[in-house]
Amino acid sequence: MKTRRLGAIVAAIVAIVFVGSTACFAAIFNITANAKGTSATLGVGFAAGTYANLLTYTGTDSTGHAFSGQAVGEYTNGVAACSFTAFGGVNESGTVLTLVGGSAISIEPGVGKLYTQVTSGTGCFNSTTGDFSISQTDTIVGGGGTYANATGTETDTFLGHNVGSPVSGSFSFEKFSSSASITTP
Amino acid sequence: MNSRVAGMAGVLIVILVAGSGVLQAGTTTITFSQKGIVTVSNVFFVTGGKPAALYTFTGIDSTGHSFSGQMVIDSAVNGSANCTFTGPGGIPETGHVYTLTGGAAVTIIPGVGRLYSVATSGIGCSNRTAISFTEQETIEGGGGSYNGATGTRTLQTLQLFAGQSNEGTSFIKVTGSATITVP
Repeated sequence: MKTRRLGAIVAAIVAIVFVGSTACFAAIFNITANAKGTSATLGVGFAAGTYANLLTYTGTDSTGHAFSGQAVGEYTNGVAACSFTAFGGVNESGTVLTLVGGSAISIEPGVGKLYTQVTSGTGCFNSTTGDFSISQTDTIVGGGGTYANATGTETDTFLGHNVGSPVSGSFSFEKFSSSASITTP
Repeated sequence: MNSRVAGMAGVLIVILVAGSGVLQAGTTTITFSQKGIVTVSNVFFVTGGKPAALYTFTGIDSTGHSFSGQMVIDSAVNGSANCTFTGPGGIPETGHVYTLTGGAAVTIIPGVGRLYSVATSGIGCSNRTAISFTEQETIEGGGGSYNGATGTRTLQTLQLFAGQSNEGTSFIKVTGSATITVP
């Protein structure tokens, strides 16, 4: 369950970005992106005795650039009731998810890479189907290439469809959309 | 172990518009091959058992489409029964019989759709260097052109352990076939 994106489109520009090269001057990028991937629970945890999911994904952003990446994200499942619209437009009910921790790396060939850490997030999990919905906010904590030393924020919305019914852990298909405001020095 | 997509009509009612990602209703049979790496997940199919292996793979099918995906598969040694198999490099090897305890896969075919499948049976032979495994899966829906898809898949896998045992990182190559019905 979790993140990513990249690209360009200069908003309130402080400079000029040479898209496709790694050369750039200070700039602000406002970007949206969509991606798909698969995730599985790994032996990586943000809290003692708990485990995060590893999401591997690919997508495109609003500048037309393709990207890929990996993210780890971990949520706790509470008891409060909630509902969400799952794959295929089906309404599902479940219980609330709350963020424990998360981070991601996205790589955009020819442009750069971006690091993010998840700062807050909530969602809804159907324990019967294993499907879920999550909305989260990330802080951009640097990168490489065009995104070297980048800062900014990002919001993501995820939809997950569980495959099979493991007795523990999860394995699912995920799709997500993101919106980021990235500032490079 | 896993997946695929599109055309090569067998007894076809299906028409695949190659490159467009559009599949029309009907049944089609596809073959595919894929390679990837394997690591240990924290997904369990048997309470108290071992965690399933996580396979991340890329491949190509008989219609020329490339795909990628992940699958989790778990198997357990079946008593002390001995067996033989052809290991990496065509070398005959001996080992113990393993049977499936659980598995599932997601395959993503860019521009076409995604396919979900769940392992239903499987048997193989493994020693401390490699495992050969044959597995059957049922297709349980998907997205895009495979929304509501049903069918079956058969996969033959050969996995070479890179670590000291079958719980470490390893390489895998898979060949298989799928019969897919789209509503």
